[in-house]
Amino acid sequence: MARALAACLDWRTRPRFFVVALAVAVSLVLLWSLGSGAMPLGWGEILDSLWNGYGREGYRNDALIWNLRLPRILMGFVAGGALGVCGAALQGLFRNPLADPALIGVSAGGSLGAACAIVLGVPHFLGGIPIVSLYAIPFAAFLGALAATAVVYSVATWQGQVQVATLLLAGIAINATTGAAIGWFTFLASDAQLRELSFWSLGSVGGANWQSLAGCVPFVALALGILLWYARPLNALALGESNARHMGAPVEAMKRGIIIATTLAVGAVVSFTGTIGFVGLVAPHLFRMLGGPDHRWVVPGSFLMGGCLLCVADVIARMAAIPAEVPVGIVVSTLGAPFFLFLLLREKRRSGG
Amino acid sequence: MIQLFKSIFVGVLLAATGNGAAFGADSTPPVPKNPQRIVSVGGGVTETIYALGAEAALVAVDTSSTYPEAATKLPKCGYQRTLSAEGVASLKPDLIFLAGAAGPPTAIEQLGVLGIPNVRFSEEHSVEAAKAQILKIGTVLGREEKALELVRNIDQKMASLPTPSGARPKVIFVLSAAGSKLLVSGRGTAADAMIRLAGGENAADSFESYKPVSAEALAAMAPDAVLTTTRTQAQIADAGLEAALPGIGLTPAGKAHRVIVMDDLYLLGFGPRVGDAVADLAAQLHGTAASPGTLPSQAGQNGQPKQAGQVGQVGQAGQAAQ
Amino acid sequence: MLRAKHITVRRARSLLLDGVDAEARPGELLVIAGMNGAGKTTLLRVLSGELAPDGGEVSWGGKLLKSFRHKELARVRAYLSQRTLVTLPFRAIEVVELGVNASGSDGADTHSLARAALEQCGVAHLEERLIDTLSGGEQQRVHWARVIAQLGAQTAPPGEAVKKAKELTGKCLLLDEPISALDLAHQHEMLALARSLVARGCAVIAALHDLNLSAEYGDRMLLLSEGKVAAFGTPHEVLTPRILKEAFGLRVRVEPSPVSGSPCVFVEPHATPC
Repeated sequence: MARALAACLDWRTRPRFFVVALAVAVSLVLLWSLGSGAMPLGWGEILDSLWNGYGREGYRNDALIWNLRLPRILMGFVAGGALGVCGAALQGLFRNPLADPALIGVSAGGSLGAACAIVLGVPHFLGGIPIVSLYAIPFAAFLGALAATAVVYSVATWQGQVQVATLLLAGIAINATTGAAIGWFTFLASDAQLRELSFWSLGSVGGANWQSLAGCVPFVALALGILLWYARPLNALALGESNARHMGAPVEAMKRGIIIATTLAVGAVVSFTGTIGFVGLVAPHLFRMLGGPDHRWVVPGSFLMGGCLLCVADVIARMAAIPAEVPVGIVVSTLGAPFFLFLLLREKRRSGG
Repeated sequence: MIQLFKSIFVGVLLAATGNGAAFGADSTPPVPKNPQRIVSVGGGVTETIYALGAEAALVAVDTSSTYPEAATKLPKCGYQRTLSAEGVASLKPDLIFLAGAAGPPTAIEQLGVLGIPNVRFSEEHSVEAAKAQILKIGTVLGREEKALELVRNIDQKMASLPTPSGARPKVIFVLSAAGSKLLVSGRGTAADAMIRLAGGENAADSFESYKPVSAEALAAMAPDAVLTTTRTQAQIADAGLEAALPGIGLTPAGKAHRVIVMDDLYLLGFGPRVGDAVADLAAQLHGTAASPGTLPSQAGQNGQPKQAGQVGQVGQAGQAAQ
Repeated sequence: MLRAKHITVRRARSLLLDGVDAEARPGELLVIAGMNGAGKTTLLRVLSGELAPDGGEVSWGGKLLKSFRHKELARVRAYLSQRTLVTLPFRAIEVVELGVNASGSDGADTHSLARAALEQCGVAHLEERLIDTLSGGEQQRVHWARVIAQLGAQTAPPGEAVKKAKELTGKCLLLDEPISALDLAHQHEMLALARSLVARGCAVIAALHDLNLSAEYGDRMLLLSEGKVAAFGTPHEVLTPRILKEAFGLRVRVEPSPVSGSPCVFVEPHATPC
């Protein structure tokens, strides 16, 4: 017992231990999330639906558990995890603890795509297909995210090398441009469109179903794989690009890989859930506080931490104002903004102002 | 536990092959004959239920259901455009009425998946649509007779409208005058429809939906009257007419201080009182209001003497018709 | 053998390096000297394979440098810059472990290899300290340990088999002003360490400011002036008043050191304009 305790406090095994503890915490949070909701269901009923309810006709609880709650909590976990892991990778890439997926223009592009779809509508010849109308906005958002990041990436690439400082500036420029474009769309939008637009921009996992989950998961899984592959070279990057190259890290491939992975994962997630901020910023920091800076643990750990955070936020979103529902983006911002300020103050103190 | 993982795995596979809601009730569950727990989303829909005398079965309404007074005492199920499926389901309704503006679409789809019967209406702003809505609700609740009576009332009121002679008065509808942003209704809104039904002309028909309007544009529109709701009137009264609607002083409406105020659900709800609302608005527009008077908040504005006879009172005529 | 032929590097309109030839043999310490801006760092970056020259080519063991893959190159050559900013709160041992990983070893002995390297640089007691809490000199010695670990050149812990003689023959260490942040004692300690690597067959190329230290520890010197080679040869051949006057614009006197006999440069005081 004492040895186990010593092992988990020893810095060498601590990250590993923490990741395992986090995985356990995530399972508990998922279970808690499954048990929470506006409908007061007892665990007996929930377990009954889970065990026997698949395909069973006539029980409303089955539909609630299988079609509403399960996909929603899984989407919350996948979305939060995607945002967390991409945040960790970008903080490693930019060597800046305040980096966030929104920096490289992914979220902005997604918002612009959604605004286009909401305000301009779907072309007539496509409108007849039922699946198109339901998925027009997510599809447009995904395309927008890809397009914005592609622009940012090509602006920041010079002679085959990605300049990180330029990448940041290009991201800021794209954010400003899409902000202006969205402003135009807001102006042109009708009342109903305006409400839809603002609702989308607040972020929600409420519309999740098995199809949207199936749409997100492959991209997120692919991105997670790429980022885990580059976790070790990211450590070397902490010594600067030049030294990382000297130590054999594939710096250019790593930059490309991380940007592509982030775009895929965050683009896919944002297209279904709308913009959810702060998770990408906060999750890696929370992990690093207890698990250390080694990216081999920070990358998977941030995925788990982000998923956990968003699940918790979603439970609050669902339970705080029954029978209405608070958009989860608001809950995350309420919790995230003060934490962000705390981070800024800590950075300021550490670097001497 | 293995069963659980198997089920999740199969669920994801099914989803991947495009077969979404693999089970559960189909998307159009049948409407029950004698609903005991009704949730009503939409001010006009709620009004209709009360008018039909079927309010005993109402368990919850949305935030826009402000008439009659009793409706405001019922539990709320949220804002009509941002419903939560599980939240509404937790009220254990056996029937939900959804006005055209109800949303979001995913929540409504989820309600169907949960097997809760719902009746949807279109978001058309017309007397025909209002009548169809009343008749449909009447049919569902078994109050066809009363529904027909309500529809006849509407027809009578519409028929008794004076035929417009001469030029139609130009009206603008102000949605909000908060701060420096003045939102005026263009084409295609409920307010626009009401203005035209009452024999007026929407002076701001060069654009659609609600848009901010500059002082010069407002002056160019030259409305004869300003139409607004009680909520917005509070904003105008606070700031003063010229401050809230810059440029209004150069228009006939501003010079005559002609502001028509009506309750927003009464004016824009397109519910059972739509006939009364149209007649009321027409009367005030054409200067034959039953009880002219000034709004208390406008008395002594900017030191100017109040203009008599041209300012309408809050929905009095409508209330009298109940 | 690291060989550079006719290296030219252009930046904007100026030539940073103009037709520079250089070579570094195994078991030799080559010192690159020159004024600030003469092109020392640029040349080192070209020799390390990081910077592709606009003209000329670099080859290592007969094979063109640019045909090596990053990982392969990392196993045979290491680079230590003047200052290294570490942007993550790594501990000293973790920084050195990065070097061990770069050397290609990824086993359970990463930790002990890293510790051996730290010991060799005299900073084993700082193992668990966060690197950004260390002084400039201590940090630099941790980075020395890192590059030594990358070359696999840490001395074996006692009890292990003695390594073969000249086992570092295939390796190259590039140093860019590696001792500027160190105090006198540690300067000599690190240069002695470099010499011990040289004795084991490593080729070491170091850019140094201090001409006297260069003469004492270097086998050959390459003197750069405005991007061109001003002199190349042994310290005795290069450190002459005539050559130094041209390269540095200073009048000097060169005398043999009373301690080691290597040339010592003394700058003659000249009238300062003001």
